[in-house]
Amino acid sequence: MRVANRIIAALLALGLAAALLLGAVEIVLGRLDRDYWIVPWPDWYRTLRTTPWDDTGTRVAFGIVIGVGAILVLLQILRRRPVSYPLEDQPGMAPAVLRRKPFERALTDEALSIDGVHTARARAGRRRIQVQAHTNRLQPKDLEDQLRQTINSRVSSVGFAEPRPVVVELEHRAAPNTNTDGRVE
Amino acid sequence: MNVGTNRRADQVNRRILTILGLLLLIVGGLGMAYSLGAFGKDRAKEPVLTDDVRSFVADQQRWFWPVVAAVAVLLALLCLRWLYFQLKPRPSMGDFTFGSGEDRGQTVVQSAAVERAVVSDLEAEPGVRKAGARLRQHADPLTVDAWVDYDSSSHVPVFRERVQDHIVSDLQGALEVDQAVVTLEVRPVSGRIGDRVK
Repeated sequence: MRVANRIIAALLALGLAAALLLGAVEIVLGRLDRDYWIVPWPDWYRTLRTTPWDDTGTRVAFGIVIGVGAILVLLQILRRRPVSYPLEDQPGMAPAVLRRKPFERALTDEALSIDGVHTARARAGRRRIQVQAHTNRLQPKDLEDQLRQTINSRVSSVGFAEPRPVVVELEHRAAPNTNTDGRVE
Repeated sequence: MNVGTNRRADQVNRRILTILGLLLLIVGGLGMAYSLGAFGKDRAKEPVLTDDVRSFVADQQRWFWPVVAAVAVLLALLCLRWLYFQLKPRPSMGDFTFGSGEDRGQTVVQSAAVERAVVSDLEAEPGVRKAGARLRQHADPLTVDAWVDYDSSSHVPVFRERVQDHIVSDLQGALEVDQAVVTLEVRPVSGRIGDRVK
């Protein structure tokens, strides 16, 4: 979402600057009784003189303006995951924040370092931290506990300013003709 | 890479885009309301550019169009400033002057020298793989914003204590200032490259 905002902001800044400078140039040309350069403003002027407010074209134009405005505002008010998390503020410690993305990558790698974990994905939200992992083992036994301990240990070693609950989920392969809860069908 | 530069640009973008979005909503909403007859059914039948507006502009054309052109140029310059800010959110600093105590007057140091010293100290700390720093402009007390790629298996609070005890103290001593702050952006890194779920 931030990338979309950056692209929109850059395009908008460039587009508005170009349009405004072009408008100024056309005004100067008009004052000098010269023909228009790029913007066919005499045609636009005639259209505005003949098109009533309740014309469908006018409504469509304002509808587009409303739509663009609504999209811009919605993009700004959408709640995003934080870029970084504040760490505990203690005297004798340098003030610090923790970057979310590298933290998620580190937790993912930590989960993958456990023998038996095949794939993993860590996701830090506004409040909690979630790790989803998958193992190819038919019976993971204590693997989930091991994973939970490892992730909890890493999270506690960071020293967050606020406690962040950790949710760990481990999926495992079902045995042939067996449910994931171990019951034979 | 500069500390927090993208986030600073993101915050400014967010404010400007919100204002632009609200302006478009207001203009579009008023125009649509006018078009639907909210300001009178008869008015909605009139052309968008009425004779009144036309005669007003014609009467005031001596100053009207020059003012419009000047405002357009001014706004265009602001847009270019905004664009430049997106590309370079923080101005680079050369020499950095700061008060170093009541009786000692002013001290001038190269900001790059301070940043290099902090980076060097940070990279010497156990667990730090890479670091960067930037002296904050016009900050009182003297503040250095730093980022570190930090070994995810190491204990962050211990590292922060070492930074406060050693690096901040050294900085205060070297620059002869009573107070200095080093803010940290910790980016955990691990050595393992594995199969992440896409």
